[in-house]
Amino acid sequence: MTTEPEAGKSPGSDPLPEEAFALALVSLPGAGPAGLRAALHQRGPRLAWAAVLDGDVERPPPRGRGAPGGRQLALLGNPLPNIPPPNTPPTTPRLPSTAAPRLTTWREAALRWDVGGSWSAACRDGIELTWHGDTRYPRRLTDDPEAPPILAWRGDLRCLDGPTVAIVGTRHCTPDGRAIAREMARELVGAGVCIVSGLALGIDGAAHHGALEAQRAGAVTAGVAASGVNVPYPRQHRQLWGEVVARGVVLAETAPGRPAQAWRFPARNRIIAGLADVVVVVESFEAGGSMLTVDAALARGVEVRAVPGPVHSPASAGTNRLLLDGAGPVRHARDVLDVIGVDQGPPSHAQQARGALARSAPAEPPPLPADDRRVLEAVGWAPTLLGRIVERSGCGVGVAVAALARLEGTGLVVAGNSWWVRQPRD
Amino acid sequence: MLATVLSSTLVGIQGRPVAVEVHVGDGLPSFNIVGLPDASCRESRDRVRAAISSSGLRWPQRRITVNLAPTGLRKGGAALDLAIAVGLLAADNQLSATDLQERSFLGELGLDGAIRPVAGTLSLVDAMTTAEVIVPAPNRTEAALISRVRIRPVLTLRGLVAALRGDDAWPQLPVEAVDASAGRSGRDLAEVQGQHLGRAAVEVAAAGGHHLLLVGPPGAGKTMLSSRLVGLLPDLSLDEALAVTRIHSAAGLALPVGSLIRRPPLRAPHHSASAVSLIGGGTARMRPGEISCAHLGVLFMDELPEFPTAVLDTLRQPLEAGEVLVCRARGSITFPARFLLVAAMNPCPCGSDGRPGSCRCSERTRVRYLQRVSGPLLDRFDLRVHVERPEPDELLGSGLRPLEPPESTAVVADRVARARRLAEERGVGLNAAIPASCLDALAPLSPAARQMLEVRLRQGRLSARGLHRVRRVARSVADLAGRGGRVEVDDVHTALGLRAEVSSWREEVS
Repeated sequence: MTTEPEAGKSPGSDPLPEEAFALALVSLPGAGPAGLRAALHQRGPRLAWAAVLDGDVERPPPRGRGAPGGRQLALLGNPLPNIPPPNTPPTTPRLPSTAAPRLTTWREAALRWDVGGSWSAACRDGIELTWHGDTRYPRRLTDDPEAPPILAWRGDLRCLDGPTVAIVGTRHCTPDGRAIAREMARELVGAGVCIVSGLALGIDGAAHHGALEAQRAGAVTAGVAASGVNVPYPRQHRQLWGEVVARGVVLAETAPGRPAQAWRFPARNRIIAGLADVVVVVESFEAGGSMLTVDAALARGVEVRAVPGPVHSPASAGTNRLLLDGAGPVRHARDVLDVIGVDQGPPSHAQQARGALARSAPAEPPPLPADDRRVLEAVGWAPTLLGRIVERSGCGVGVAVAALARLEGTGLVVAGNSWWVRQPRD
Repeated sequence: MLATVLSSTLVGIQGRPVAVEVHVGDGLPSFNIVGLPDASCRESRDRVRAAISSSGLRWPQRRITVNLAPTGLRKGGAALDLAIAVGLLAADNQLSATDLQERSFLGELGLDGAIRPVAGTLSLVDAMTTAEVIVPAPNRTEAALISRVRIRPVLTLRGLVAALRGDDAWPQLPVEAVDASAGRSGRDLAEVQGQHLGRAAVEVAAAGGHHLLLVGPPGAGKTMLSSRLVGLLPDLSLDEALAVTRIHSAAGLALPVGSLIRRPPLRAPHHSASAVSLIGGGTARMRPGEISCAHLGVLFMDELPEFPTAVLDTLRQPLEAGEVLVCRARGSITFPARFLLVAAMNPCPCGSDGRPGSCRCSERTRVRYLQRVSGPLLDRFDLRVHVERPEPDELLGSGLRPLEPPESTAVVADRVARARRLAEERGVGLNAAIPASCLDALAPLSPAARQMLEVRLRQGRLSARGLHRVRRVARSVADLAGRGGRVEVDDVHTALGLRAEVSSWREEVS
């Protein structure tokens, strides 16, 4: 046995837990799923780390272009984590940034890694780690063909033990899509489901927000991040991250402290797909990133459901395509609960009201003045510009603007910058 | 021997009289021009010498000095060629001084002795104090717009000398009459299908002189609508026509048949335009810029955010003042610039229609794109309208709703003319120019309209500045409806609808 394993330890401390070595492994430069899988290789992180230090595990050669490994090439020029591990002695020589970085082996990087220091820093941040084979590792991912070898998380990972639904969609969503995602997540959480999503802008954020709004104690939502679990991205969602950690879990296979590289996003999507009992796509463009989640879900035999949208709305082009290709439609939380076979319990007040509304369909048209009704019909469920409203309704500009102001007052439409969109009444 | 010949030179768009003094005396043969001639004016030495030789006239082999008085005024262009040549011949006794009395000369010389047209004839002739003006034949119609002088169009130097000596008759060239009817050229509004909002905006802009901003994706018909706007404006009055013609002539732009511009001009500079080309100025001589060429007409700026920000901001002051004072070390000139600004832009760089659900730009990209048009400039647009690509039914009609032919330019222009008359009777030229202090008197609000605006103000959805602009637009809307009195609530609603916010919608973080 060499003395090198001790080199990384802070002297005089307790023996480090396995998690500390999992953190060290995942923080290796260019550590992707494939490399880490090779390193762990049916053994615990401690042994894997020792093997790395012995030089038994070489960094895997980059794969061809296009594969995630190919994109890792970009990482090779960036030898150490962007955030240096704490307690690193100032004398630690930094890797030469340009000189032959491609030949750097994990062993050299590992020799410089402060296992104990980084672990105590992670503990302070409330970061925990699990690895494939660990008892806390999410059971849904155990048999996953591309199971993430090591996962870092903050929060309560046990929320993934119960039924889970992934709600995903475009970042560039319509107000309507946002409302659908939010409402669906809220009601699903109310029925005991955990909402899995990607913490992104748009539909993802709306799903998390909806889950957090639900009146249910305990962990309710899981956010799978493409960056490290302590690196909120996008910045607008910094607060949301904190809330999800408090009432659920934020997990990632990216090392803590690292920002997200472009290839991490599709990789993140496969974890979302793997963690869910069913993937619901609320709004997606024809070639949106949500389609990668859908592909990953289909590859794993996870059910995919789509929320139908207006035919003319580009933001619903992808979901409507999914419907055409055979994905089942879902309208609201109850449809989703039917899919995963969760007992729905007594319908909520809002659901009862909607049911009653649906049964008494002919009574639905509210008593509105003729102008207002014509203008309301001209406003679509997707954002509609004033010009189109004027044309569709056949009213004058002044009449239409006046009617829109009244309709906005009653909450039947919502005004944007220069567009209006219909709101469902409930 | 000394001879003095009268002519004029162009400063900005104004003509200034110039006395060309030629002295032919003893000494070594030479030919000098003094009195602040610029490069093109100095070159006239060579042109004059060649023209005199090729016209069969004698070149005096003596010391020739030409002085252009007043000497403090910088003279540019080749319009003084003819006066220099004639003065030289008189000083050499080839013409008698009496032949030149009560005559001024204007024209550029070719090396073969041909007399070529000059830019700015209208202003140059207007500056002449003599009873008769000799002008290049191609400029005769334009020169004839100044009716107090007698115009003598000439084709060649040889012909001119013969006529001055009395050897030959003056050339008789017909002067084309000014086309009084001045038909509306260009495209008709009847070709624009659908676009109710865009059409309404164009109509209100024409009636009240309100600056218009069209926002929409490529192919939405922004350019189509803007190019129809100029057809809705009424003909220029004679004074206005002369003012516009003066500018276009000085800028060297082509003039219509009859030389008088009776229709409001449309200028559409490309977005690579420099500040000087828009505002006016330049090194050789002070040339009017595009905003002055669009005086009393329409300045159309397509792809507004693509113009350099610095260039756009130079427009703000002329937009308020209706004229622009261009200052250089050599002097300063005021150019008139009372134009209707029509601008078009995309809602976002991705080329979609900028609504959530179809635009895929990030918020930052959109904000950066919109920030290229400064807030104060954006605020100058009384009318801001979002247009989008028409629906197929509007273009082709459908079985249920057959296509009704849209109103033609003639119908709408008639309405615009009536609305403008109402504004004139009120004593303000255009509704867009009503001072804020006169709004209560000239655009009184009905109680309902007042209450509605109060609510908007209280909600913070309308600023004090925006309020004035909305009231002016509402005044134009009411005028178009033939109601010169109170502004009704419907007019105000229309005005609000025609003044959309042009700012990036925020990606809600929920």
